[in-house]
Amino acid sequence: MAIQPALTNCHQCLAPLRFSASGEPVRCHCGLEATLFVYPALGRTASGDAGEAIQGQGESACFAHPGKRAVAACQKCGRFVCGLCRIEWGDALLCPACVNAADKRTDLLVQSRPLYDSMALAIASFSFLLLYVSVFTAPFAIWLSIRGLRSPGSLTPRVRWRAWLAVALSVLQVVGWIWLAVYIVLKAKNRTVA
Amino acid sequence: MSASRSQYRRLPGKRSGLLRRNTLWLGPDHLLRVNSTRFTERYRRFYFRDIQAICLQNGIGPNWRTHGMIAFAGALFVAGLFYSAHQIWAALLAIAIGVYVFAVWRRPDCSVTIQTAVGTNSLPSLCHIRPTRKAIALINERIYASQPRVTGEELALMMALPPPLPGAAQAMGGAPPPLPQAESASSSRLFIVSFAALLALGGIKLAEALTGVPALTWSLPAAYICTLGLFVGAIVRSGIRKLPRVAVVAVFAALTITGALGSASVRWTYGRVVLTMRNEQVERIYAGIAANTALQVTLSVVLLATAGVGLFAFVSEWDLAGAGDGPITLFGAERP
Repeated sequence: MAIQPALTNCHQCLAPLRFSASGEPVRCHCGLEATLFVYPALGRTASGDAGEAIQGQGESACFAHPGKRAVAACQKCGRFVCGLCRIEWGDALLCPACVNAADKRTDLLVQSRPLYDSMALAIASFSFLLLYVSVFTAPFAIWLSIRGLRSPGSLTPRVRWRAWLAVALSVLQVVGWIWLAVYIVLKAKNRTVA
Repeated sequence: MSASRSQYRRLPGKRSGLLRRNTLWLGPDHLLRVNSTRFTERYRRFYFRDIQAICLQNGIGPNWRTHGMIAFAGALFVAGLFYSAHQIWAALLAIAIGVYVFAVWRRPDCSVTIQTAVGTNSLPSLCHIRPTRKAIALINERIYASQPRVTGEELALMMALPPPLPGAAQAMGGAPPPLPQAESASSSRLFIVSFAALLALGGIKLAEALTGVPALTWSLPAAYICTLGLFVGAIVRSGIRKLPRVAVVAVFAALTITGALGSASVRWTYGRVVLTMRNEQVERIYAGIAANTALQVTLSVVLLATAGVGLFAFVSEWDLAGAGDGPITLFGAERP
């Protein structure tokens, strides 16, 4: 069976793994067994389209690169785009400006998200261990919970019980502090009256 | 985003810790890798039409022989503590061993990397083989639906001429790199140091049994603990999977002896230092053992013999490994 060039490296010893075209698992010399699942996209390369230069006068030019030939029009704003500027966005074909504008609104370009509900729950829970700090942390946890409920949150399905539990715990702490303050004030008042 | 609006469906498999959680989600046209620190989430998308290959490597699971020996040594220590009236410490140590075994059991036993035209990325959530196979089956369906159909011959041709890869795979070229010989030598060295310490310990024990010098008696608990620590360190660092059978038996015997004698001597010293911890019955047993010179000498001989067997096994193995490093030559023929 012909030995193929390496497609990937061993997880343990980083040696290149050579798979046969039959798809059988291979064993690295460090002892690990590897199975490779290959797909038709293997034939595609990472090289992008640089865009062709304009040859004649009658040709349309790219909006961003006047010297390059337009190959398509943005399906959102209608600007002409060259091969370099052409962006396939799902089923649509967009220009970089429209993709940049969509960055704020779409979930497709989100790289990271803070989880305010988890932060609020952690703060509200741990402040039970150090009750004195809950004077400050309880309002902060309530603010974080509200922010968590109002912000987009995780991209993946996530129920909101954390935020509500954090609110409940924080409200409990705030009520406790208010009760303590009222109790101290009333006691001091009674002592003054007596 | 509420649960009803989400377009993602979770794939089997997850890897979670105190401050990490890795999951994989199936989107309409892409795979979403979510690496979470519990308070933030980082996303990475792999579009089905761009995925070139998925590599699954299994067999990286925990070495149960190694971890079992460590747990066994710990269990011996627990037994020693339990029968020397330190039940609370024994219970705490037993809980610690339980946590250790659970952590070892939860360790990944496979790894998956995903390759696109621009690079290779790992999918840490796919770390156990059964959910991984289920997840790959689901991913395969979507990938085949998103990519053009090709025949087996075309795929084989693509494999023969893969696209340029970034990183080590391309730089290393044809020949696989040599096995890390230096590491194996250093791991053997750790065991050799441990057996040398056991040999020294046997010598101290023999001298103590024959002369009864108090300084030797007081230094023994620390020597036992240090030797036990050296063995545990050597096992944790290099494992015992590749060791020869004789060496494994010697390591096992050394762990057993140092664990049992170490716990007993620590208990004895503790009883001497903290007078309130003295237990008449236990003290009587210790005094009887201490007075029995023949038993002490036998224990010393057992320690020395174990150390000798272990040293012999490792030193001979080390020499062989060293000989294998260079080209095979006929020694006599090369001499002038």
